[in-house]
Amino acid sequence: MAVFGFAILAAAGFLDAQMSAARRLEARADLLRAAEVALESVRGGVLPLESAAVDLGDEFRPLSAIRVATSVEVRPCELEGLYEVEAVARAVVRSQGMEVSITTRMWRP
Amino acid sequence: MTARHVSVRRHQGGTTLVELLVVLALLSLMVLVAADLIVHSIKLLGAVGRAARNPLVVQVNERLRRDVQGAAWLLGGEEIWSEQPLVLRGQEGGRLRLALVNDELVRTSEAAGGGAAAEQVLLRGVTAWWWRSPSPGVVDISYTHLAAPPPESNASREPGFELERRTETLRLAIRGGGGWRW
Repeated sequence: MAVFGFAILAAAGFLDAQMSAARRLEARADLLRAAEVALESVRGGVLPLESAAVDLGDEFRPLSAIRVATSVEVRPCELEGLYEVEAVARAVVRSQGMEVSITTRMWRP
Repeated sequence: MTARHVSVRRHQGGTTLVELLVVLALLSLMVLVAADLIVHSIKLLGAVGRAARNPLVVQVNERLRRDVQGAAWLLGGEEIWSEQPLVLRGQEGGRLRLALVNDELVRTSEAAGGGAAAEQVLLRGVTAWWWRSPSPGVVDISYTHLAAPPPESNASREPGFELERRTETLRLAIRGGGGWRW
């Protein structure tokens, strides 16, 4: 019975690891989408070109059941009018923090 | 041989055949349960991975990105969501039309000067198509398509369970002349 119990515990642990990996895959796709929306919003002028936390609204809520916090970091480059923009999306997935960031450069109009 | 010697020999006899069979049965059951769990969880991981990055939807999103970001400007953009076809003007004067036709997302491109139109079905099983322009040079696209639900929601593990609707929402800035910053 002890061996049987140990096997059940091991199998349950294995299954939990697989589920965790699946959730993280889904969450990563959502975080990438959120970072892309933030960057395109800044690029298109919907959001100002400045460092701030970004509220993407209900239209861009994640497909999986996670809460995404998105922010934009703006840093000036060597050339005048050119900025390095980094969009960062964070979420907690199964008690672990997860972060995805995309960095690009944009001209101030 | 005395009765005492017989009793001692019986206690040192080891396992009986019945005990051995019980242990073997338990071990077989354990292996069966563990193997089923492992096989199911590997299938689950693969299915969730494919669902999270459905190649067909990834391809459609990539096509929409290229079309909108590469356009020169948008024809008839409004701030409110619309089900009408999205019409974009290309950098070389051509026209691009994205519309929902009979549950299919259809892309029609016309070359500059009113040449022959090329029509292409991007995705079948599309149940809704919406777009808007929240700001000049920015297009939000939202479409709903039928997809297999997450495998863990199929508790019976039977194939052929119901499809669910998934909504993809994109925000894209036009680069080819209509955008602000790129």
